Amino acid sequence: MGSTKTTSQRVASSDIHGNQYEVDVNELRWRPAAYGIVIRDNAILLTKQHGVLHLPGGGVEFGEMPEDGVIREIHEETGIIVAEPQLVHQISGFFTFATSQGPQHVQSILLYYRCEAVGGELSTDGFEDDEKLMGELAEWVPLAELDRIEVGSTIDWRSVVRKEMTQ
Amino acid sequence: VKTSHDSEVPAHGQQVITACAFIHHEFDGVHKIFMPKRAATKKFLPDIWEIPGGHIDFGEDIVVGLKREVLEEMGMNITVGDPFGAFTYMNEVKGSHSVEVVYFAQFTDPLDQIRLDPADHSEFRWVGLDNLESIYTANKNADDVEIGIIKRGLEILNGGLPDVG
Repeated sequence: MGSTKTTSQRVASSDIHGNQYEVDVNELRWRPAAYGIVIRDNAILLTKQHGVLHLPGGGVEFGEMPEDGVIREIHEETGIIVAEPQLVHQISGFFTFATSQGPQHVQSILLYYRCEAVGGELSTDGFEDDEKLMGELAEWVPLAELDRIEVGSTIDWRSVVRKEMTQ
Repeated sequence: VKTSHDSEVPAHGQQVITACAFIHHEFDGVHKIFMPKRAATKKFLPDIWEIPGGHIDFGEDIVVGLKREVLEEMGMNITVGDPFGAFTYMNEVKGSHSVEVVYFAQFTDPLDQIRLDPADHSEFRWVGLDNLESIYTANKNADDVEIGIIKRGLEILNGGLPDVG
């Protein structure tokens, strides 16, 4: 049976600013990423950059287990220690990042893990250098405010959180 | 998506995405998973029982890709549900890091029409919690992450709520 793969296929990719790129699929690389849904006392743990709120998480490093990645990222970005990550949802998309070598187009698999907060305190101590420039202290945001908060431009992760809230 | 991870676009080795189908069926009230055994001729992990699946092509929807792989390898159509687990393999042959996402799935064609492609798999078995050990091998047994995901999937099907700690 033949593969459906074609050599000239193009896809639409977008960057964090909402710019659109038409990309040949042969230019793509994979970017597995893992994000945490951490809910405690009817509030969700979110990171903040330039006033915009995000789920904590990020790229899965080479050789890393996704659930180890989400535990590591949440601790670095928020100070909170989580355990027992359980995969609850997955979204795919095409995204474009600025790099020193120019735009890098990726096909991203975004894995969403429900996690339990088991320790730690809100802190910026674990920020990487670029996070120190843009990031602010993470917040526990009441779920009742979910509809009113500002999210980043590429993915509205609130649909994933709402799905979890109804489980 | 954050701009703070630009530097983590893969640089020192390729990451690939594999979608896997946890194909389940209920036999006399017992939930079982379809587990094929990798062909003895495979360079990577020959003669190992695995959750079937395959690499997703660039530009390809992950569910479409998973259906394509199962159709190619088993001659069977499937429906695909939610993902419930992910694990990774380092493929020493290719030098790649494979992130494997496991989805609930069911065959939509009659079970007696399963036709394994011998280039991929030599035999298959339906495995439940009661005979899970029948697919253990020296390097893949109770401590293996993929075996752990199989256990969790069967427990979810058996009505146990996922353990969220």
